[in-house]
Amino acid sequence: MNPTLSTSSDTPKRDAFERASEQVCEAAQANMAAACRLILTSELRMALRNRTDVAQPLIFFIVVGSLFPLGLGDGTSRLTALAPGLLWVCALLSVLLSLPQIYARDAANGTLEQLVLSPYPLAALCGGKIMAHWLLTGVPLALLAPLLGIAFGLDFDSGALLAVTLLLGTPILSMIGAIGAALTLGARAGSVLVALLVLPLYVPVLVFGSGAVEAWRAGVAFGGPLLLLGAGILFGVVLAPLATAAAVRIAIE
Amino acid sequence: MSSLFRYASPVAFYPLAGRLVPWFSGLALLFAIGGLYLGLIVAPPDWQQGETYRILFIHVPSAWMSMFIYFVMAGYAVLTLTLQTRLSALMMQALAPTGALFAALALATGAFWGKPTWGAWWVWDARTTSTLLLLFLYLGYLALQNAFEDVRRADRAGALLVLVGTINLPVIYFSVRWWNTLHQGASISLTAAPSMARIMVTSMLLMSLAAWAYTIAVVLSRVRGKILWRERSSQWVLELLRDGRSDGVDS
Amino acid sequence: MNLSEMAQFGPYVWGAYALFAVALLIEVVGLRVAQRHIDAQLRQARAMADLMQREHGSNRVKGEVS
Repeated sequence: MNPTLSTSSDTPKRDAFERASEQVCEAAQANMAAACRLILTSELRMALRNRTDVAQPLIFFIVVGSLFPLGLGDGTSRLTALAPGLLWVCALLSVLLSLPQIYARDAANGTLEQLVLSPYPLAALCGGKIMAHWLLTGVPLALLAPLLGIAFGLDFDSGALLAVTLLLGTPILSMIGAIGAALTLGARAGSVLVALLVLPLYVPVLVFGSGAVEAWRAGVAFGGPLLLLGAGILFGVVLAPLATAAAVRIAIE
Repeated sequence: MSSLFRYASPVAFYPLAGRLVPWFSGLALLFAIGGLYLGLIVAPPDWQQGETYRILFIHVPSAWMSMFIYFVMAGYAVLTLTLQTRLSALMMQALAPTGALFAALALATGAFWGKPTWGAWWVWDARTTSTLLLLFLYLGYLALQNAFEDVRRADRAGALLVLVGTINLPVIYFSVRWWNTLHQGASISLTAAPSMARIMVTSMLLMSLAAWAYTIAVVLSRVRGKILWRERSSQWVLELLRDGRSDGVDS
Repeated sequence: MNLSEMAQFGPYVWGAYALFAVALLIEVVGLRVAQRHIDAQLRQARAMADLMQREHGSNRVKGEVS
């Protein structure tokens, strides 16, 4: 109890009110954490059951990455020079491909309405979905990219930095992508529309992600873009679940 | 002030917009004549760029309007999502095509300026790339509007998209500028406008005012059509049809 | 500066201004076309609604159901 806040006449009422509001806050935080955990475990369990759905974007990544040497000719020096940017674009496209999956199943079997109507805050549920998407798509991509980079002649240090930029960038891709996926739920030509909406918004992530690796290879300071990506994650963690929840509500009503 | 809020309803706004369109059209014409006269006839050739700098009189207003329109759309987007007014959604939809057109024109006129000035039709510098991305944002919004049967959902989804885009715009511009310095080591600012004599600045200002008045006229006219279509099952549109007054831009 | 010097503006300046003018013209003309189109569609929708109402009403009077 804070004695400076209460006056002598209504001390008992004020204490009770403060206690009640503390309890509500704790309950809300517990609610949000519980909601997140609930969605996360359910998504991961679904992913275990549908392993091919999860693997498809990753296979796409490898296939598209392999197209570039075929298209550009196998002059290794040119490929190595282009590698960070190319690999980043391939990763971006793979994430784009995986976006409709975030809500497709839930929208089809009515789970989405249940989520909206549930007592848990919708923003927390959406946050859990975004985190699950990142764990299933972004993290594997970040780990696969240096391996594909070897095929491009990328050296170990550049590959490691590439993985770091992808680890920092793919959460933002998942966050923005989830908003786009929710906005285009059930729309005509949904997957192309999502790409059209989301790609301009992805550009800063692409620029900072591949730019960091390019800067390192050029011997210039590369910490700036990494910090900006980190700031983007923080910014997104606060805003993206709210925006996604708003988009889901718009889609459901 | 309550009398002003009356115009938030489509029924009252329709005739008001109709009355305003000729005024703003006239304003646009006046400003354009003034700006073009000053810019093309009175202003002398630039000692550095010769005559090609005159393209800036249409390039700069186009670029300004494309950005300005997007921010106005963002304002209407906030109104759509918070107050749920139909008219704000319709205004947003009416603004988008003109905004996209100005963005495309900014790119095209910029190319016509760039070719004689830098020798290339297109350069990947910060401003051109940002304007290109802005054009994509407009196109994405227009695509989203046509993707739904349910108009209420199209309204609100579009509004949310515009807001997300608005928050991202500074990030996009900043990131593209950083990318530009990284890859071209540009201490040379390729898009620096030449330092201009006062007459050129005046002409640019007049052309910008002309573009702004033109935008208002075009958008108000477009929104009238959208209002009629959206409200087509209501009584007042029915009466308008019976009186034969729904045709034409000026009624 | 007299008008004959405007001929020295060069193709780029004229090209840009021509493109600009054509684009705005297309927008304005497109708006008018859209207005006529909306009006035609409204009248058509109204006419069909009136027709259906008339048919439906007359059927009811005669006691027929079609």
